[in-house]
Amino acid sequence: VNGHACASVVVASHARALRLRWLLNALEEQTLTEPWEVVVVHDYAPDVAARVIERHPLAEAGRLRHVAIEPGSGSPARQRNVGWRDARSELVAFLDDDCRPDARWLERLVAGARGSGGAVVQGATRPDPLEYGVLAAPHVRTMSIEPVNRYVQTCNVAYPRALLERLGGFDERAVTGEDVDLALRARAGGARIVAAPDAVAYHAIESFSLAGIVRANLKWRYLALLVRNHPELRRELPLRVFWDEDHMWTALAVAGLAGARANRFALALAAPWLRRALSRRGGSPRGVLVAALEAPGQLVRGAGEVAGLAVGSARHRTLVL
Amino acid sequence: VSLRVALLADGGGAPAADLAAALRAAGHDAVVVDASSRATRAADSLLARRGFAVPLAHVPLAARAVAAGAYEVAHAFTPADAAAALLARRRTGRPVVFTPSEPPDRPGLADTRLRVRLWEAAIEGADAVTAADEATRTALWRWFALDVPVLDAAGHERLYRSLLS
Repeated sequence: VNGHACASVVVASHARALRLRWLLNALEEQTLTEPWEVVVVHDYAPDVAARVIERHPLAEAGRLRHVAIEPGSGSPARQRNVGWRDARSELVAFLDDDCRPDARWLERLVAGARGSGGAVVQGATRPDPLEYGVLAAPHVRTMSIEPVNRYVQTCNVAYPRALLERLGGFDERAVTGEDVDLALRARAGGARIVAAPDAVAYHAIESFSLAGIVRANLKWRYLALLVRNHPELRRELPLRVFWDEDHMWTALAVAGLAGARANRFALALAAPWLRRALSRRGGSPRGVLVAALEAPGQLVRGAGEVAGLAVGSARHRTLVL
Repeated sequence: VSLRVALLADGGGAPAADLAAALRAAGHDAVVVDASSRATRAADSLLARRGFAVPLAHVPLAARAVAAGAYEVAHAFTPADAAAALLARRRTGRPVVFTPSEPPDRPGLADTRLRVRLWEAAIEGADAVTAADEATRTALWRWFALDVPVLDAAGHERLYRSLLS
């Protein structure tokens, strides 16, 4: 691929070499017939990069390049900035390294971009149907996004390179939410964001232990910085304070449990959370039983997220829970 | 000098039995370790209802059998059996060989709980990974970026000796 690529796919990868390999395999099956390229920015050891990336058929076909950064020196924002600045196309498509694009993903994303007149194009991201079995685990992480949503996550989106340059790319001070920040700045600058709902990427479904999911979700504490920088986000938040409804009911439930010693009627505050928790596996008796067994862990997970956001709120001096 | 080899085969898989027969014909003490039972299968059916990759329930029993058997090498043919062999290695320090009994494919790599982790543990933890045929070799390269040799019984015998030297 020379300088005429119609699209550059930029992937930031860290600690997911196996998933990256699977992503590259899915990219190899893309139906787009025009020239396009992949740029992977990663912090893998040279031998891992050689096996997983350099010897991949896409690399041997001249379609895949990679940029290695110092281990531990990356962040999604920095790696994506390195990637799109290294890209050779005027259209930069971002994919997460734990996604598997449908075979027609890039073809449809490019078609959406061509008909959009320089807009940002957001595709759909759905839990990978090959991994639905993992949803039986009590603590899972995946993504389900129908475009256009308010956050415009970089797991499946294409930006005109000119717009990225005008915006200065991703804010590298952000630990998380850098993609939301970019989309909000794009919107504020007059850019349109259009949907390409048939450009589908399937997101991995990963299960975690309770400690693992609490630890993984601690990064959301940095969302407070995002809300401080973009106060207009509050219009979408429940009561303008809670990140989502789950956090609102979790905070109420924790308050109810804490107040139950002084007044047992305070336990009633936990009722809305409990009703939601018991219905998360459907309404069958077995589903309710499983949900009841999982409820304590779900409360700990939710309380951990709210506590993390509280810490972030104190640090960034704005209240988001 | 003959070798004492444990070939882990939940349910008595054909690849383990075939390799065991060939190794025995070459004068080695090759034992097929099958720790599955009616009880483990009942436990597996419960685990399957919670979305786990099965069979799993035999893993601690297989690990104990391998550790107690004074084997020089443990050779596994499924990711779960490799987990048992790796558990046994913690006690014995003996090498583990992993040869997938079927070529891995994308739909089956992450379809249930623990599946990916078992595959990763087997691939990364085993002292050697081999393929029984070209199709498996090709699949291991495609999905794991892992270049492995295709070995027959004689090749495995040489591999065991090199791991023990």
